Parts: sequence; C-alpha cells; structure tokens
Amino acid sequence: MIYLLICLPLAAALASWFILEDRRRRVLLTGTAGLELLLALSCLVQPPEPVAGGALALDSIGLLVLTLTCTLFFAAALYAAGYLQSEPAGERRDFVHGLHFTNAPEATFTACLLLFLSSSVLAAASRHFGLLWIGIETTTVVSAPLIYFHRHRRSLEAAWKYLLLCSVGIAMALVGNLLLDIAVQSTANETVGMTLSDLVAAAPGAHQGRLKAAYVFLLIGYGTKMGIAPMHTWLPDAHSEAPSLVSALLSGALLNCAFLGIFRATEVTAAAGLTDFSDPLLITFGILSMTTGALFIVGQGDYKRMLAYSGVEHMGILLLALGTGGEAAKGGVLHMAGHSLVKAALFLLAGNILACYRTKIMHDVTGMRRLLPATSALWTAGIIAVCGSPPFVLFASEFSILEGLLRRSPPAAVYYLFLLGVVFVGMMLPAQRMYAGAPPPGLERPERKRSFSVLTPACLIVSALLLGLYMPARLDGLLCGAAPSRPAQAAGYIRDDGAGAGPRDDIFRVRPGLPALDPNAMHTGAVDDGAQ
Amino acid sequence: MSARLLCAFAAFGFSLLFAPLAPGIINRVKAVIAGRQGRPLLLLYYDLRRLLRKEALYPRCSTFFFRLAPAAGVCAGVTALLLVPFGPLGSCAGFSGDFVLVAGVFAVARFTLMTAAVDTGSAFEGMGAAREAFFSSLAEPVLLFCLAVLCFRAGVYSLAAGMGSIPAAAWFNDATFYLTTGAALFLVLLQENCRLPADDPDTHLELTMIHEVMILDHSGPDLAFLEYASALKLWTFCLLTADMFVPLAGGPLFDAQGALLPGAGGRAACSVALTFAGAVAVAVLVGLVESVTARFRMERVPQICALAGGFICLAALAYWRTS
Amino acid sequence: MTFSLPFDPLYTALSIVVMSDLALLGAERPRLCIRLIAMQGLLMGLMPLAAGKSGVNLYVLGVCAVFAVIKGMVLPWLLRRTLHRLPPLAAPAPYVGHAACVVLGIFGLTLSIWLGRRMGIAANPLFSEVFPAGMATMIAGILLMVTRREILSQMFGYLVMENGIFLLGSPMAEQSSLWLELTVLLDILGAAFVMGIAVHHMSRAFDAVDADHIASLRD
Repeated sequence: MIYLLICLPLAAALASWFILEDRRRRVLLTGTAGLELLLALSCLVQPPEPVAGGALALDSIGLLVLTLTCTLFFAAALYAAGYLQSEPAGERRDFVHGLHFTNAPEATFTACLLLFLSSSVLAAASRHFGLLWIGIETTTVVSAPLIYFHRHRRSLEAAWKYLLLCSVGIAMALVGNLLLDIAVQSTANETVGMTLSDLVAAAPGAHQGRLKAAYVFLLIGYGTKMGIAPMHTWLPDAHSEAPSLVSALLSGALLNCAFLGIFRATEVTAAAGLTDFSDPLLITFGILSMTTGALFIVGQGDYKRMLAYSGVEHMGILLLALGTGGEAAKGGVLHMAGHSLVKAALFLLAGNILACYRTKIMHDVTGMRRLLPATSALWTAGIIAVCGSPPFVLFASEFSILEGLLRRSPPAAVYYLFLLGVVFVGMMLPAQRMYAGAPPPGLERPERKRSFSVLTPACLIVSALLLGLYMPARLDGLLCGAAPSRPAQAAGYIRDDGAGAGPRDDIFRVRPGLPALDPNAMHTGAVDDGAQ
Repeated sequence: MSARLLCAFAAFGFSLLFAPLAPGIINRVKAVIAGRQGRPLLLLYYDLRRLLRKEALYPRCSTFFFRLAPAAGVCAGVTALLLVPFGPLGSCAGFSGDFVLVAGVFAVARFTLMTAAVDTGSAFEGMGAAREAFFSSLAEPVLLFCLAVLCFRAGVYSLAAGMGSIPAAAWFNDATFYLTTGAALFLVLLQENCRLPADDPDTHLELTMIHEVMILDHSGPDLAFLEYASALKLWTFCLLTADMFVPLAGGPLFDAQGALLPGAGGRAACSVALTFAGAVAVAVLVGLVESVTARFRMERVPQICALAGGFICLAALAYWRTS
Repeated sequence: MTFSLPFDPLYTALSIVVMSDLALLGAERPRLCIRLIAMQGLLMGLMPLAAGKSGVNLYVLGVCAVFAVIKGMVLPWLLRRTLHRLPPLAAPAPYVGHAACVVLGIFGLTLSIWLGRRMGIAANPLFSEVFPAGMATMIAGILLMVTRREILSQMFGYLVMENGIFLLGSPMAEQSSLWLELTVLLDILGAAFVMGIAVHHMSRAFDAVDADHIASLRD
C-alpha cells in the first residue's frame, strides 16, 4: 500500500513526459491526484501494514501529513488544470519589470508536480531518518523547477535562493542524521537501525553530548526547510515568485514535511530524556520566527509575501507548541493541519487576485468585492482564519497552545498573545482595504471560466471552518497519537511499531483545571496525573 | 672529543668549503632546463677569489655600519652552521633553545645589512632595505614557528633532537607532519634567500630588487664576504629542509657519550651522505622551482610567507590531532 | 598474502582531502577548482573501502566504484559543462580575499580538530578519525559559498560541503547501508544538475556571473 502511494505519482510523472497532448496530461495530473487522495483516505480508515522492516510505516502524524498533502495536492491539481489552460503560450511581458518571458514546458511542470507529491509522500510515510531526509531533499530538488515556471529573472532568483539555501540546510540535517547514528552506537561494529522505533529504543543509552549535537543539526537543517526565522530568507521570495498553486503546495505541504523532520528528532530526544535541552531551543526559535513573521507582516506591501511571512509566523507557532509539549503539542499538530488548509486556500485565491489585477502590490488591489465577489469573500474569510479567529480551527489550536504556554512560562504566553495581536492587525487592515473601495479604473470584471479556481479554495476554507466547529473522533485520535510522547510514556512508544494510532488518546489528556505546575515538573508530573 | 663530535666538525668544515657550490647547482639546473650550457658550477669560487684580491672601496659618507655588514654576515652563517644538525650526526654546538639562536643570528646579519644599505644614503638601497625589513618580518615568525614546532614535538628544545635524526617509522607514521613542515621550510628558504618567486637574484633593475640592491655599493673583499655569507645561509637552509625529508632508518647510531655504536659505521656514513645529498637535492629543487615560476608582483610576495605559515599551521594541527 | 604500507592509507587520504580543501579556498581559477573537486570525489569513493567494516567483496567494490564514478567523474563533468556554458566574463573579486580564505580554512580546521577532541572518542573510533577532516571540508565548502561572488563557486561550495558530509558518513558505511548512501548521492546529483541548469539560466538572464547582481528580491 505504501509502495503504491509512493510509486503511483512517480509512474505518472514519468508518463507525463511522454504524453504530448496537454489536455491528456492535465487529466493524468488530476486523476493521479484524486486516486492518491482516495488511497490516503483509505489509509486513514485502515492504516496499512509497515513495510521495508518498519522503515516505511504510517504512524499518526505521518498519516495526518499524508492526508493533508494529498488533499492539498488534489486541490492544487484541480486548480492547475484551469490555471495551465489560462496561461497563454509563447512569449509575454512580465508585469513588474516589463521583461519578456516564457513558461517552462508544461510536461516538465506536471512531472515535477507529481514528483513533488511522490517525494513528500515518501517523507510522510518514512519512519526511517535516512529515508525522511531523502524525501525532503527530493522535494527541494523537484520543487525548484516549479518555482521557476514563469521563466523570468525574479522567479529564477527565487528558485536559486531556495535551492541553494535549502540544499545547504538539508545537508546540515544529514550531518544531524550521521551524528544521531554515532550517538546511539555503543560499540564500534554495532548496527543500530535508523528507524524511529529503533532510535527511540536506543535513545536512553545514547551518548548525550552527541545526541544534543545531532539534535541541533537536525533542528537547523529541517528548520531551514521549514522557514524558521534566521534561515527563512528563501521563503518569502520563493512563495511570492512561484505560481500560486505551487506556493500553496510549498506552504501547505512542504513545510509540514520539514516540520515532520523536527518532530521526529524531538521524539528521539524526548525518549532520551533531553527535553530540558530541546524545549528551550524550540521555544526560542519559535518565538524568533513569530517575531520575524510579525515584523515583516506589518507594513508589507506585497500580498503574496504577506502570506509567506504569515507562514514563517505559523511555523514559529508550531515549534513553540512542540517545545511546550503536552496539550500544546497536540494543539500544534492540529495547528499544522489548519494552517495547511487555510494557507493553501489563501495562496490559490492570491492566484485569482493576481490573474485579475496583474499586480502583487496590495495598495493597487482595491474594490475586490466588485471585481471578484467570490474570491474576495473567501479571501477575507481566509485572512480571518489565518489570524486565528474563533470559528476556524486555527483558533482552537492556538488557544490550546496558549493554554500550554501559560502553564509553562507566562511571560512567553503574553508575548505570544501580543505577537498574535500584531499579526491580526497587520493582516486584517490591508485585507479590509483590498476588499472595500472602488476598483482601479480600467479593470473589468473578468468573465468566469474557471469555476475550480474558486471552488477548491472554498472547500479548503470550509473544511477549516468545520474542523473548528466539530472535531471528528478519528482525527482527534490521530492528534492524540501524534502528540510527542514525553519520558513518562517512552515505554508506550517502544511498543508502537508505527501501525498507527491506538486507542491511547486518553493517556495524553491533561485534565482540565489541573493546578499549574512549575515548568520542570511539567513533563512528567502533569502526564502521570492524567494517566491515572 | 667523541666520535660524533668529530664527525660533526668534519661535516661543518665540509659545509664551509662547499657552501658556495649551492648557488652554482641552482644556476646549472636552471640552465639545463632552459637548454643552455650555463655558467660554470664553480663560478662563485672564481668570483670570490677575484673579489678577495681587489681593494675595498667605501662611499664617502659611509660609516662603521657599512663595514660591519660583511663580517656580521659571515659570522652569522658560521654560527648557524655550528648549530644546524647534519642529519644523525647532530650539530657541533647544539644546546637547548638553539633554534632561537639560529633565527636570531640571521636576524642580526639582516639588521646589519639593512643598516649598511641605509648608511650609504642611496634612495634605492633604502628602498631595498625597507622591503627586506617588511618581507623578513613576515618570514621570521614563520621560520621560528617551524623550528619551534619541530623542537616541541621532539620534547627537547634543540635542533639536533628536533630534526636531526627522525626515526623512519615515526616519519612514515606522521608523513603529513614532516612533509608540511618541510614544505613550509622550503618556502621560507625561497623567501629568506631571495630566490625566485620572492626576489630575482639575477635581476638588474634596481626598482624590483630586494637583496641585490642592498649590496650595490659593496666591493672587493666586502662583497666577497657578503656573497659567501649568502651562500652559507642558503646551504644552512638547504640542510634544515633536507633534514625534514631524510629520516634515519634503523636505531640510533651513537650512544649517550657520542661514541659510535658497534656495527653502525656503515649506516652512519650512509645517512650522512644521504643528508648531504638531500641538501643538494633541495638546491636542485630550488632550481626547478625557479625555472617554472615567474617572479611574483611585489604586493603578492607576502603570499609566499602566508603559504608557508599555512603549511606550518597544518603541521602543528597534524601534531595536535595525534597528540 | 598481506601487504602493508609504511604509512596509514586512511590518514594519508584524509590529509590529502584537507590539503585540497585549502587549495580550493586559495584557488582562483574555476578549472583548478573542478579538478580538485574531482580528486576529492575519487578519494571519497574509496572511503567506504578504507572504513573497511564490512570487508571487501564484489558488492562493496561495485558500489564504491559507482561512488567514485559519480563523485569523481559525473559531478565534475557537470561542473565543467556548466562552466563552458557560462559567458567568458572576468570573475568578480571575492568578498574575502583568497589568502584570507585559506587562513579562515585553517581556522576551520583548528576548530574541527578542537571539536573532535572535545567530543571524545566515539564508540565507532573511525568516526573520531575522520571527524576533523570531514568537518573541515564542510567548513571549507561553506566558506567557498559565502566568500565568493561567482554563482558557480556557490555550486562548488555545495559539492565540497557534501564531500565533507560524505566523509563524516563513511565510517557508518557498511554493506546494509550502502544503498542509502547511494540514494543520497543520487539526490545530490539531482540537486547539482538542477543547480547547473539554474546557473546557466542565470548567467543568461542577468548577463552576469556575479551573485551581487542577482538581488532584486528583498523587503
């Protein structure tokens, strides 16, 4: 089953190079995406058996990431079919610098999209650190050509920055993997498997110094790919210059895969009892990313860059949640899902806006409600959602992170709230300006040709709304299974061979109204209490 | 006097006698590579004889410092030769800390030469002296560092122990260390002896000269002394560099009192011959380098010292790593 | 029949790698850089053999040959091809001079030896042997990337860095994990391929090989 999940898009990618007709290729793309989504949903119902000696297995978070990736990819594929049709062939003028440019060949674009799907599925499904690395590195390699779809200077520069920075960052993660291997080896010729289960089992006896070094390398490496603050510089460029559907995939699917890398690494350090080391790192980087995101959102002139910086901010929230642990970590995983849905929808909508207004400068985009009524309504809803406002799922997740953070360290919680407020104001004001007012003269209301361009983001936003109102039991189980175990439950993890979430969710619950504990006792104390 | 000391003094005398051969060897190698017949090997001997017969002339404004330089140069060369180890024979007058003295006597010789150059009042010679001061201020720390690292490694702060008799096993074990040190010493040799990438000994343009410009006003026996001093210096550096590349196979040759161990006579002769052959080989190598490189622009000359410094740093790191 | 060399082959190879790192930092001509990278690559291919954990058999030899071919021939060929397609423009002066770069490289070596000593001997002693050289190579690669302004040099730096990582990974190379390293290598090959194309496109789009000219996106 897992092999099928990985190989199906791979085969489709190969096939798309040999299909000469554009229309058939688009059918292939959407068909593969739909089939993959069905497969992923069936995995959700019946988790597949681990294969390759446990190296490839879908555990809770893997399943979640897989489902999200496939959902977003399906949405992007539907969007792509219309998008590719509307892209004129031949040379045309770039609307920023007025330079002439062409598009990359559509076959290559489709193939790279499918390869991207294949590699991110590999990343989601692998519990083997080496394979995870390979999956994430492959996403870098195949998504750089995606960014460079419109062959002009800016997209080229963005693709180059993305490729170079992420490759170097990912290389750091490879060093982290090697150090991890060295750390868990206790004798020269011992062979320790690099699967998560093996590592978690071996972690308590590992060399602590090397394990810490490995963790730092993994955090920096995958953090680069995830767009964590000091290493985020590629992210706004890549997200703003890529075609909108690629931006949606990058920020909805790719960042999750990178987060998965950090998540796995944290699971190992938690099993080794190094949470005192990893948590402050995560929280620091999280706060730093949030701050950077907030700073650049305020006064941002480019709406795609604004979305990109909001991505940086949300990645910061994810790290913060992971570093806080407990209930907040569960909220973090939920946040990942919510962010993917909403951000992908927003990027798709940004594509619609860009197609109509032919500018990315927010100042020039006014009166959207007249020109693009459906898009503008969804855009406003999406912005409200991404700021973490109540009816949407992001509110629930951000709230539970706040709850966890309040117990852990109140000053950080206050700062977190402050940043959320800044982001709210920074995003809502321009969104309101874009919505209201009179449209710029000379722009006509475009005739509606592409119903999918509105329908797909609408579905994504509605699902984010529904998740905010009602949490399906299955998803809740996944979230609970995914929330990283703390030392007290390390034993439970060793038994977990990756076959998915068991009915263990109640173990992780922290009873509401639990008295605030001091941060050091938080990991063990609170959870023990909940397990009784 | 022990057998070792006797042999060492013999080698010392041999070195004094044959040092002027080294520039001849270099020139011959360059000539052969360029396809010329070249100057006679013994040209420097003829020159010295000719110059010694002449009368020394002194510029009118010159003082005592002008006359000091030739004598100081030869004294420095002789003193350094007394301290430099001749392979496993060791040195004639080594003591703990002698490597500082080796660097020091050359510094004194250079100082007197520079004052002599300035003493003439010639603008060109002053320029040469300034350049010499600048470049040697870069080369000297590198040389000292090279010698210090070697002595530090041996644990005994004398050149004879540090580089005289390196056991072959140790040499092969740490080939990186010795090769990089040798490379550093070789580069310092090029810089300190005014060989080609740094300074052209055959140049006739005062603007580009460094060493040659400083001795423009010396004549007769003074010039002979200066030429002889620079030959001695070149030979000393050749020996130092050769010591790096010629390890001693088998056990020690002499006992603590310096008497030849029984049955080691043949090996001793062999290794001494090897050391001298090594020094000649270094001279040949200098000739080869001079034939294939062009002279550096003046502002790039410090890069030679930088490279030498890099090599010796590598050697120090190689030692640090294994210690 | 046993044949023993008078010197340690692993140590010698590591020394050569470190020397070539410094030479790369000092080298001014891209052609020389490519040659040095090719030499490093060939040495890297032999590393799993030097690690010698799994014994030498046909499979290991074959995989090592593939490593050597990819790292020592295919990647340099890719670089040479990219170089040929670049316009013959004078290389822009680096941000940090070549001599200073070498000094930084030596500093990096010092740092990595110090780190290696601090980390102590790992359970796998081979790792502690290769650690300083591997780390120094990584640092050299990063230095190449950040101090040079030609876009091609950034590619050189990336490959040198990967060589360093490969070196660090070589002690872990054993029969069962060679496939993983091979896949990683193929990934890097793919990355280098895409980078080569990107460099070519950039030199055409920007009429420059200078990274400073390629900075239109910023906040």
